Amino acid sequence: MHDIPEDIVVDTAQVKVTQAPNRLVALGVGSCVVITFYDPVLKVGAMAHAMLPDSTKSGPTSNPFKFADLAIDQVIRKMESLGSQRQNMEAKIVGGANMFPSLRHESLRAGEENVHAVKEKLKKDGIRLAGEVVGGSVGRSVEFDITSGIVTVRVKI
Amino acid sequence: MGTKILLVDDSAFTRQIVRNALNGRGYREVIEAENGEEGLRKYETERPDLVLLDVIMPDLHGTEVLKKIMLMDENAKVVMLSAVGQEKIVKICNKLGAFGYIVKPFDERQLVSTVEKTLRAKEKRNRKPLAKLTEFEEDALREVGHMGVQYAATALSKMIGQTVKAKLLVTRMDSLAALPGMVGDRESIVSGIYLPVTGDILGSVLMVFPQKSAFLLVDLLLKKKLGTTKELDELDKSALSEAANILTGNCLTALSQILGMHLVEHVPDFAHGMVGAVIDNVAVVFGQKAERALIIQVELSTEEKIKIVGYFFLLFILKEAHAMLRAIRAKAGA
Repeated sequence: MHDIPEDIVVDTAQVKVTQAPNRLVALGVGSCVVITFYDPVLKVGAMAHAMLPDSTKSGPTSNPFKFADLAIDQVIRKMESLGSQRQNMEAKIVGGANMFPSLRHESLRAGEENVHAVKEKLKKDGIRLAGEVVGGSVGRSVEFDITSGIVTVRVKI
Repeated sequence: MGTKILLVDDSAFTRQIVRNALNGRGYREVIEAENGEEGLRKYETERPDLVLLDVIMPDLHGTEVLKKIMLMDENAKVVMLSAVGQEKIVKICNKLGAFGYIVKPFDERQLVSTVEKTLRAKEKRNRKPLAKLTEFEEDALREVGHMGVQYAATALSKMIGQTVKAKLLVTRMDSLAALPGMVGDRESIVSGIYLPVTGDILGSVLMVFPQKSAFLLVDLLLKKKLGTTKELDELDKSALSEAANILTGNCLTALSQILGMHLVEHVPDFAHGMVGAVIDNVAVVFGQKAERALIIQVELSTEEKIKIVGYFFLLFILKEAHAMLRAIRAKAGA
């Protein structure tokens, strides 16, 4: 094996796909939702880092993958283009926190809505949800190891 | 998720008719506001899919409410409700960005068909993209921010009973996404205080203190021996929120005076955690509307040579930045 594992950072509104032995990483995730997709057969994985639940409620944007629905569409497209089949894909979700727990301003309540939208979208697309670490009021960092399929969540307070 | 409709009308009678008509067509989530101010507050908190807005109300004229909603959210879908014979107002409302107009008395079918048409409309017709700010304009905004910060330092001096000097490290218009890089990285721990701003400009202020500075500030505010605070309890958070509240209040007072605008801050919300997480949570509120903000990084230093670094973000949508500039120009010309 001469492949050197690489850590690929997935920033807000990005979608990335890679193969073993690489890792996909998202740092400081709050109300955003990180969605990981894994195909254990092909050892292919993808990560989306979405910020808002629903693109249909918004005007045109230069940055479509900040919306959970469009980001998931893109993940599925990318996985399929690498030969992955939908029935082999499994998803995990991390984030959807509310960093301002006092919530005097309702408009800050974004996390819950993001998680709800992602779950609905996965259900609609027939993707199995294999795990989740969501909610609360804590920031999280996510590491997704494509070799093992393991998603590690780090919390720092 | 169902469709959320906000109904702003001072007449309980009209509200009941509209609510019944909408409920009858399966629109269960109808939020009511009985005046303009309440309508604006509910728009901010509820973010409805559609607003039905009366033109004549006792507190604020419907066109004023419409203007403010459009400033808050340029994608807002607002349909005006009013009595016959107000054709002039129809034109004004169209210009301001209203999607449609329903004349009272209306029948149910007409109401529902307008509502449905508006909800289906994907997007506003020919919305012009806003021009970016020129260097000169950015300079003017920086100057305004600079003066606001001096006021904030004076306020902090009073709170902790010793002279505080404010040194501006960075002032620039930048993307919110630039913040984590300024503090350290996305995982750096910070305290963040968020305060919405309303009045002539709609936006918000986010103050961010890196952990070490937050601890020092708590020591100063609560008159503890420096270095005592190692983690934040509820009282500490409340002290930081209150400090941010007062600093922001002073800063906004300065801006109000300079710009001749009326700016009101609202109660603070407090967050503690990874800066990436805090910033993104605030960015969500603005969605795509405030990709750039006026960012002011300040170093506050006390007589005892204690240095506290704080970041002060004035988040306004670009349209609002233009409104500020118009005010600056008007002042300069006066």
